[in-house]
Amino acid sequence: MQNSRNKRIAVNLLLVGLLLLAGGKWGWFALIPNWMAQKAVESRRLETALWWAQLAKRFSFNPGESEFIIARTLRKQGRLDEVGEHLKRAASSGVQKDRIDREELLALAQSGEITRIQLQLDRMLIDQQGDGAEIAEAYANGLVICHRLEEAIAVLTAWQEAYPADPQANYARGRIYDHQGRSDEAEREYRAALKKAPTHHASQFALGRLLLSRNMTEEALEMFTRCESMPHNAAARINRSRCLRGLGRSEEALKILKEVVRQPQSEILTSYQSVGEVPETLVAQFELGTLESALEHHAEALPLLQEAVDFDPNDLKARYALAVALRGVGQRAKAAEEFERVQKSRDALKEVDRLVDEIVAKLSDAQIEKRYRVGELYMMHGSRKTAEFWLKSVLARDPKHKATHGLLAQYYAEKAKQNPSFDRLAQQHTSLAAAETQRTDGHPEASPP
Amino acid sequence: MIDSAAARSFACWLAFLGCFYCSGCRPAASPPAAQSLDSTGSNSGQRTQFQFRDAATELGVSATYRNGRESENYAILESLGGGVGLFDYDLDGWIDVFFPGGGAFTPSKTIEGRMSTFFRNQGSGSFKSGFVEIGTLAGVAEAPFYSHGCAAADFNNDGFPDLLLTGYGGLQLFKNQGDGTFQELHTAAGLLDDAWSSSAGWGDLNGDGCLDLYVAHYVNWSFEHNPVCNAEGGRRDVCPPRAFDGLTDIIFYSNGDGTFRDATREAGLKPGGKGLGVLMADVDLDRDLDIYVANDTTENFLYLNDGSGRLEETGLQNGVAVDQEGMPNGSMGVSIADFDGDGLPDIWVTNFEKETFALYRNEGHGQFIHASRESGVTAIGSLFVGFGTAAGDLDLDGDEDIVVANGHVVYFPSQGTDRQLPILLENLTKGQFRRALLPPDSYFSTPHLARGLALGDIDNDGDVDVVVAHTNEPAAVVLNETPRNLASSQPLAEGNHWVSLQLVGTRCNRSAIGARVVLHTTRGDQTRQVSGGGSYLSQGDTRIVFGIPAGATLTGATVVWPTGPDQVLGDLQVDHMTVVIEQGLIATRVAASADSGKP
Repeated sequence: MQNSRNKRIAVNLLLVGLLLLAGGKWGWFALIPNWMAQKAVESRRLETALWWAQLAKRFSFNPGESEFIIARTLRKQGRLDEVGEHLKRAASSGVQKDRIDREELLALAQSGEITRIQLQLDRMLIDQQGDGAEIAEAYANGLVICHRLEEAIAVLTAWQEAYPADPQANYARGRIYDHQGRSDEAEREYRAALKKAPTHHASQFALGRLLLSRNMTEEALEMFTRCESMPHNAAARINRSRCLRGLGRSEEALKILKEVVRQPQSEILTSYQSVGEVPETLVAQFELGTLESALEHHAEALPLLQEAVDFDPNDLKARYALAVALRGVGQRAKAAEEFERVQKSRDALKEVDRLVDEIVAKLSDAQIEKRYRVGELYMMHGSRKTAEFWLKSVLARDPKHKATHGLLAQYYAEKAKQNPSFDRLAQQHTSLAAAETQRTDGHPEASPP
Repeated sequence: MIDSAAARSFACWLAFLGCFYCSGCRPAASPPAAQSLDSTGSNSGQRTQFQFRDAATELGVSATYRNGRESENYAILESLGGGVGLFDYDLDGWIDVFFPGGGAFTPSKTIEGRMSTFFRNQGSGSFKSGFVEIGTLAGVAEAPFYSHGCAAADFNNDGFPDLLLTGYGGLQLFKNQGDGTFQELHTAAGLLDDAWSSSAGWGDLNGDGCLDLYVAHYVNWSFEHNPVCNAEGGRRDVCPPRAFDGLTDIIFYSNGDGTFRDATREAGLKPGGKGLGVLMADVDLDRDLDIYVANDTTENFLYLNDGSGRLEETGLQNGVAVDQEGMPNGSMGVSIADFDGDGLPDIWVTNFEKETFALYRNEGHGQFIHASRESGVTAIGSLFVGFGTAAGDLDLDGDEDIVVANGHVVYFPSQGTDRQLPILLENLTKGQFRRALLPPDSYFSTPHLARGLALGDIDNDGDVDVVVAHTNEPAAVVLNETPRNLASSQPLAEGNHWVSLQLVGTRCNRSAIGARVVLHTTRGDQTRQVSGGGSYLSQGDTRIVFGIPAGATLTGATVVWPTGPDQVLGDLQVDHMTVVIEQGLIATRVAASADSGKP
């Protein structure tokens, strides 16, 4: 009796072992999680996709497909510097070369290298090989980065016609309209996306943000509340707290923010990336700091706002709030210094308004130097992301603009201190600036302008 | 061969694996339960059922501000619109109403003024007689320039309120001669200012007992500098203010003999700014007048006064120059009130669309913090372009509510139409605001292209009425007909009550601008100030109306005169207007209208 039972157990264990070996070898156990990951990518649940793909890797000795899905997901999240490594692993695990090449091309497109690869992208749009939506999305994103917005809208419109059930084209077009200040049209697109996919969190978030910017707080609150079912929901919760503040429900907002601010910054950043946003600043610290100040808890606000300013010295909103908190705790001299710094930066940025008006008035002209000046002013006094945008708009018109390469080299070198993946860009712009110096002056110049 | 037990084990294993995939290890935690959304967070049982009716036509008030839009010059000059002035020019106890007329453009691009209108309130024991237009008779109708705003006060301390008119190209000073007529004497008085002026405010800045004058200037527009700007879709539209440079405001100090001197340098005014709203009040409670200027798209100014008329601009440091994100807004109208009942005056500013109207809460010593979100103000939405605004206890429940006149500035707004709904914000408790509940036939339920706004008890029934100037449509005289017993669950006799005080200075300026009153009730104190300027291009009545909520008992009041000492009023009567003369000489009671038609 005992022998028979032992025998059965041994057979079971043997079966399990064989099954695991065979499944691992041929990737059977990865089939389902890979399929789930693929489905999650298609429905833009990118964090979910990553989770399933990572799981699939654990169940397979041959993780090529999982690595490929991870690379694609990272690309869609805008984490372009991580894409290459995963594609390499996918290639070494046997994923076909043309798929790898295609994904690399899409990553390039998404990074704004449109001009260089436009012909290849056009060819890919004709020969889609089942990747039509991916190509259109990356193509449109790349065009947006190069500020070729009308072309991007044209690509998105074609995408929507080809894939009428896909909410992503509506969402992407909404983002462009949003950026252009065409908020009615943006709202229409977000709502259209949500009609197609009611749980499309990026659209919920974008619509919530748009509504909140119009102080339509109650509906915005509803949108952000719906976003809270996301795996990484810090961004949704931060914005939910902003809505609650707007409705005078400060205590509820305070409770949420105190929870969020305890999360690692990387988690908060991931939550924003998952809704297509990349905050440059410490949003949670800023929100909690200003709320504490508004409730006259200036001492509690102070360290939060100081942290936000230390993180991004160009964050004028945080610096202003810091000055208010300093004033609130009686540090009037320090407060006056901070107020003055804010004032100086604001005064400097006034030139931007005039320049942008002039650029917009003659969009058909390149206006290289004005664009450069706008970028420079933002780099010194305002949003560096906006500065990067304007400087790239210079390079789109004059790829050899020496001063722009120099400024971007400095910018990326600064970023590389926190994230070494920016080293490559820093070096690239440094060498381009140096090359241009050599070409124009006839001798090399070590430091960027 | 696998025996049945082994097969069962395998099946169990597969089932385990299946469960693992399907439920046991989901990547996402289940979402937190959605909180129930109390959309207003309000104690709706306590909301007032406001009732307001535009009675302009039946009262004989027919005034339309014209901006010359029909000439299609797309001039930013057209955007500002006109104000309204409420003051009792003939001292008969009834508020009279003045409207600047605006202007027009000729085909040869010259700019002309349109006649102002002035309506005498014929009330005498009863309000039913309405108004009669006396602009020409009184000598205030002529406007040699394109007019915008007005400010009334007794600049020469002769007991009769005088009138200042602002606009594009000059000022007009109408001295009240006490016989029902006015004499224009801006040149003789030294009010020489040919810049584009918007709002103005009177107040004694250097403590000499005579009123000084602050005049806000807008931008450097002219037909020689009238760029072409386009709206979405390429259609031409009015240019935004950032297409122009701001003009430095001007301040005139009284010489004490009815004349003025340009004291812009003497006082220390800051250059630039695109001034639209002016308020003169004591924001740091040091018994001198400070000045707040609402600037369009640039930082608002707060001039703190050292008492001698030397001003220091501290807007940014004191937290009232910008919004909660440190950004300057397109500010237009301004008002001051103690919204949260802490005895400190808070500042209220109306702003451009997609910005939040600003409630700057006073934290003491003239320090403010932007508290629009915490006070529920942001929840009203941000598509309003707010202009005239004023604070008053419209439901007589013991705290100050807010009225805002809205209307767009461009021909082709990117969202909605140029006409917008006026807003009434009800102060629920301690500075927590919600948009008021109003019936569909109310004035507040109809969109207008509104600009100037002023509050005053037009019909002398104890509650505060609203007068609004519109652009290219007739002005509204909006009577407050809010039933007083619905604001509480108390029976009619126990409803809300009121006290109205008119302050007359003897040592300080006669208009008592800068004086503060603390009303004492069994439910706490209420604080109000007589301020100069305020709202947008407009002059509100300077009488102070306090609401006394049902169940509270009035125990007295203290008047804090700018020149001191404080005056204690022990025997005020509710539901009466009282004239309080500085130094406690006389406290004359004037019965309220017996025929107010109130429930």
